[in-house]
Amino acid sequence: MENLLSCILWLPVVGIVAVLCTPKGKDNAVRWISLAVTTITFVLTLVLYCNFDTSMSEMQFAIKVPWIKAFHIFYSLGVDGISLPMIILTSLLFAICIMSSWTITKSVKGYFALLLMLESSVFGVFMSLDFFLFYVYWEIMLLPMFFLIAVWGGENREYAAIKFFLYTFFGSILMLVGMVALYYVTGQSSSSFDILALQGGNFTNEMVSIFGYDFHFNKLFFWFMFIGFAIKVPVFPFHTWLPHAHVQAPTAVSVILAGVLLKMGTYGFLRISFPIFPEASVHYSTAIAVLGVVNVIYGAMCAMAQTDVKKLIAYSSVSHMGFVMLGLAAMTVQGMNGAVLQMFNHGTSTAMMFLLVGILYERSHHRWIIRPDGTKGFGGLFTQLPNYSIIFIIGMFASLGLPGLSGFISEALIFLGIYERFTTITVIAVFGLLLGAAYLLWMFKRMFFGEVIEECKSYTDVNAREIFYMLPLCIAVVVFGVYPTPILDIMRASVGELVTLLSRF
Amino acid sequence: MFGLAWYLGIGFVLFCTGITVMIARKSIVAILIGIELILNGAAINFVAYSKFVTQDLDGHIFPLFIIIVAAAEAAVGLAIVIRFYQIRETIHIDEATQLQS
Amino acid sequence: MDYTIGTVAPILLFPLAAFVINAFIGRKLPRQGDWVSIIGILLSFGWSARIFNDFVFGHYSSDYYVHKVFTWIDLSYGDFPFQIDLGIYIDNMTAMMLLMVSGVAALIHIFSSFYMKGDPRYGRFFTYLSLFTTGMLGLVLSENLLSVFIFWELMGFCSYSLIGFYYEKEEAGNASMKAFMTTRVGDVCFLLAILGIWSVVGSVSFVDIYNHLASGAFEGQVAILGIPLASFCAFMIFAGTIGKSAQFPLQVWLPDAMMGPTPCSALIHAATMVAAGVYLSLRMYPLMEAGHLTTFIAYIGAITAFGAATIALIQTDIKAVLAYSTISQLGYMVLGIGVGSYNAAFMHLITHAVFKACLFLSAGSVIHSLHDHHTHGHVQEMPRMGGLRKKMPYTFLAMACCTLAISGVPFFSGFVSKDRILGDALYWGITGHHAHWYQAIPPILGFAAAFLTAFYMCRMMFLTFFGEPRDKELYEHCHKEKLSLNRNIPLLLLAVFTLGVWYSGSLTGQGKVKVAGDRYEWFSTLIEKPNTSNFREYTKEPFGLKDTRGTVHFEKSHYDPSHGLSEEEAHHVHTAHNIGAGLSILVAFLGIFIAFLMYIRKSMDPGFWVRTFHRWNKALKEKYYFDHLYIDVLIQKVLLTVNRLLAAFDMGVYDRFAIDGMASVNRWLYKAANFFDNFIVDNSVDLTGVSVKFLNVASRTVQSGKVQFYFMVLILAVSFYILKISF
Repeated sequence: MENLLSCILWLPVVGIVAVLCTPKGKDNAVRWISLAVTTITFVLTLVLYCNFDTSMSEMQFAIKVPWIKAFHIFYSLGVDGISLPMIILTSLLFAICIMSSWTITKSVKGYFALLLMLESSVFGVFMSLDFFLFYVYWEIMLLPMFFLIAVWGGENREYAAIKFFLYTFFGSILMLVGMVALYYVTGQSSSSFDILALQGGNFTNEMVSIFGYDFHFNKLFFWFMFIGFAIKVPVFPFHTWLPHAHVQAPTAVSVILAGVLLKMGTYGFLRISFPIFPEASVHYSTAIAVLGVVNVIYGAMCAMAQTDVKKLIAYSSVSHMGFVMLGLAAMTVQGMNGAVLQMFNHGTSTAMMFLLVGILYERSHHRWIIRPDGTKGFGGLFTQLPNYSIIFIIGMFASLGLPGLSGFISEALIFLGIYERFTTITVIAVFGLLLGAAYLLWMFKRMFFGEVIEECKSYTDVNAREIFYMLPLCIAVVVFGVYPTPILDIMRASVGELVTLLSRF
Repeated sequence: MFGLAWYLGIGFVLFCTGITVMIARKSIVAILIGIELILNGAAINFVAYSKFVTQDLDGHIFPLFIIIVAAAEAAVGLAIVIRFYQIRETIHIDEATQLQS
Repeated sequence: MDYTIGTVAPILLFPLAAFVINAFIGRKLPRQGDWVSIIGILLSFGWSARIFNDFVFGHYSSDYYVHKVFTWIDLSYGDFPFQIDLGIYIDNMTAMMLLMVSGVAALIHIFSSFYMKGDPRYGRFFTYLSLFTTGMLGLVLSENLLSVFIFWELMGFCSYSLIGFYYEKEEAGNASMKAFMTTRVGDVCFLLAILGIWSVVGSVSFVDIYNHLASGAFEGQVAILGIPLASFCAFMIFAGTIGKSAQFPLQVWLPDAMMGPTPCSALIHAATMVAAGVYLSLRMYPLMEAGHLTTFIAYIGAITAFGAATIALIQTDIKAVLAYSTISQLGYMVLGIGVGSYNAAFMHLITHAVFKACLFLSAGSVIHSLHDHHTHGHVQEMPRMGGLRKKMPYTFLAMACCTLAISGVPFFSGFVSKDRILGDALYWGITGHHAHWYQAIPPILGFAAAFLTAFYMCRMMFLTFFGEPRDKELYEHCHKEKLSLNRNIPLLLLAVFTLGVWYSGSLTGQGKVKVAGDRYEWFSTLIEKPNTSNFREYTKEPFGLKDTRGTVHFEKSHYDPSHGLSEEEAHHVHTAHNIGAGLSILVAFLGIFIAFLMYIRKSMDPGFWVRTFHRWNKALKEKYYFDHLYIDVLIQKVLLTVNRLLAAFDMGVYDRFAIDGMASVNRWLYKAANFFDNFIVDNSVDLTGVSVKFLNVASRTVQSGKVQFYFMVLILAVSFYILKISF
């Protein structure tokens, strides 16, 4: 059991070796190996879930081995209630993405190897308890993403890939500065990189002097970390890499990007920013809430004007991650739990949306709702693709927060959490729900209703493979919409502990 | 009746003439003549100061030296000029460019 | 009767099970699984009837309730308790709603098996119907606002799906989206109200809210911008009602919702879902009072009732007339809430549900029988009908009863309920002690709308069933109606319940002109405003397999003719009611008479009125320009323009200049750096060589070998030096 986390973390690496060792030309073998690896990983995360003690807020399955002794850097892993849902989500989405990537034919080996590498690095981020290790995985993650977008992407892929890379890299550099500052402020001791040891608001009195100006260590480096994570979320005004990256990325990568990578940003808040700088977090929670509500409204309004389906959904991600930010700013149990739940639920619902768009793209080879010349890109899909439409409705309504599907509970919890603290902001943010429904339904109306247009008549409905990989997400969306307790139980203690910590400041 | 100024004046005129000749003329011989004039101007100064200011013979020694040195110098200079003329068939000073570059 | 999972949950679970079965294997079942849905709703009706029997025939007092909860979400940790409960809250109102909803839904299910026959998506229609009934029954059973909201939205989704049922039509898409978005405006407000209430009460259970209202917890609380919290929450909840019950100014979606199949219009957009808004406002009535919102509510209701009635005057589509009449009748209910006529508003909700469902089903029956062989579609236009009385006598009978009911003819249910609302409005606005001048308008509008209602409903009847057939071919193709179980029996059953005697023992419903004595004033006896002080002490009971309540001694309610008022006040109220009753009978008959003159006797020319008031006619045709205002102006011109500008700003300006601008700045910087490196640094390395070269050149120039030049320089230097010393 102690090595379970290491198994999950390194299994994809084994998969990479296996994939790379496959003889040339055996593309199907590569696909099956990747699928097997990701499926086993998923099963292992379920084992992790079964053995997880939901009553504890501490780290579980922890492992700590010295790595670079001179700098007190450890190979230190562990999961708690905040990271476990993310780990399960990650392993689920990767297995699904491998299945959805079956139709990739361009240098298959490289593609699947990079996907597996991405999986391993994402696990690393969610499991690391050592800041240095966390940072290393955070950076490693960029590499496969860069190549996946730049090689397998759309027409404008190099631009998007470079933009994504540089933008996130900029954020991680700020984080690196913060990390180094923490290393020095803790006196280069054995706890310098230990996330758990850093937690608890130890730096309330430290000052730093930069160019002769004195800053509160706490408040200054909170912002360093904040920007580092905010770019990943992405929080307005650091969001513009997202539409580019999403539009250019291949389907599976979009799914991973929206489903998992965005959550790394908010996970960073929960794991690093908030516990290490609780005073600054509480102090600046209004700013976070304002940014959150701007995200919600701005993302939704931009989404409404899009004519490219994928771009629309990319902006909807911006909007939905705004809800997570609001929940984080609430700093109450319901808000924080709602935020973590929203991270999970947005992962499933947006993954559904991107997969569905990908399925459609395989048939149409374009994504225009309305083409630039004003003609309809799609029309009457409801008649042409009945099964596809039903799955689309589930995904769409989950995304717009229909009660009974997953999005609603998390949004309701977030609102319940934030109302008392930031009433005005809540009143504005709630109308984001309205806009959220508007752009999705409008898109749906334009694509699915009416007569089937000529070009759509050749489209075939979803095949068995596509239904097979959509099914787990549909089930997750419905089940967690009606009965979210399994996930809430996991996170309750850890989130509660964090809220307790924050409430002291 | 002729004071120091007169002597100095002649010395100055000689000196200036010598300089003018030295600068303005392109013939090496003429330059040598200019040098002689300058030396002579200087010699007159020595003598004049010796007579009117110090009242001793120290100043009179110098012109003798000057005359001797000038003679020697003229001998060496004219020898160079003759040699130069043999090589270049001219005594124009601007033609003496062999050491230049 | 005990209230446990076994006796209450099946009401919800049977339709839900039908939905699940139909959703997954419906297509493989015989008859596409319609019987699953019908059996589901019939069973649900049975269980509802048990509860109705227990409550209504048990004559539980009006403030008796069953309240049971189970924990849905529990996030408590340490010092931070947080828990969301779901559960049931059953009182007389719930019991009646349950019976009405499941009964009407059952009949509509049965009728649908006739109406939708042969539709390519027959099975799917029943799937949606089952889901919808689940939602509506769940809403009625809910013990708190959050679960009301959940079911409320679920119904919104069903409404969306059913309006867009014929998705080949572009207009269906527009209408469904319009319906969902318009109601969602209200829903979002409703959610805000939930948040506001939660911040004070710590839950949104009805009982908790009443309790906190009684203890004055809302007093002094401020929401935003200095608005008192009670007013804020009351307004927001009422905004939910405005959206769902299609009140002014969000009434625009309901007429378009008629794009859906007619049975769904009957169930969702006439009988149940739109009434849910009114139900919610009734439940939250104490909050409305605490928020001082009643006058506003009365105005909204009166404006809606009157405005919709005027638009209904000129409609030619039979379903459109009914749609506007639905809006108008909902306006009456809201007016009833506003004027404090709690009991009558709820009664009107029930009576309206019955007669409007029947009207819609009858219209469906008419539409279904009129098949245009040229367009292969059904005919809904009244100018092409006429004389159908002879072809479809049963439908005519049912529809006639309902028309009389809705017009407010005595002995029919509509009269009983509407008359009481109008009487109360009259007392509240004009004759009462507390009536201010600004309260006079709602009752006047109410009576005016009653007149219009009688007129346009009879116009509809006369155009459809009387006179000569105006489209002969259509008339010839229409088959003679036979009595059949799934076509006219449901209609006639519903028509039976349009008789006033089911609801009140007296003619007016006020105890006046007694037909059967106080004993039969059960409706007025059982429904009363929630008395919040009764909820001060209570304990939540777990909702489980066993009923854990102790023995309750039920106090049977008695009819109180003076409504708990003092003798003198009651006298005033009764006077107002008598005037109101007389007036409403008068306007009803006047309306019917004018319709008779116009469309049967043809002694009055409708065209004259149209020509005289052609501007009004245009405004009515344009539905008072609300669609234009919302869609063309607010959405297309304002919202979308702003959105496009924002999106253009985001990608074109912000991203391009600020973010890529960083890249450009970077590019400039690296060009500068490149320049610096290549030119300055590199050249300064070269400069050491260059400086030697430069010196070389300089000294070479000086060392020209021109002796005269040297000399001149020497002379100049010396003379300069001398001059420097001298002066």
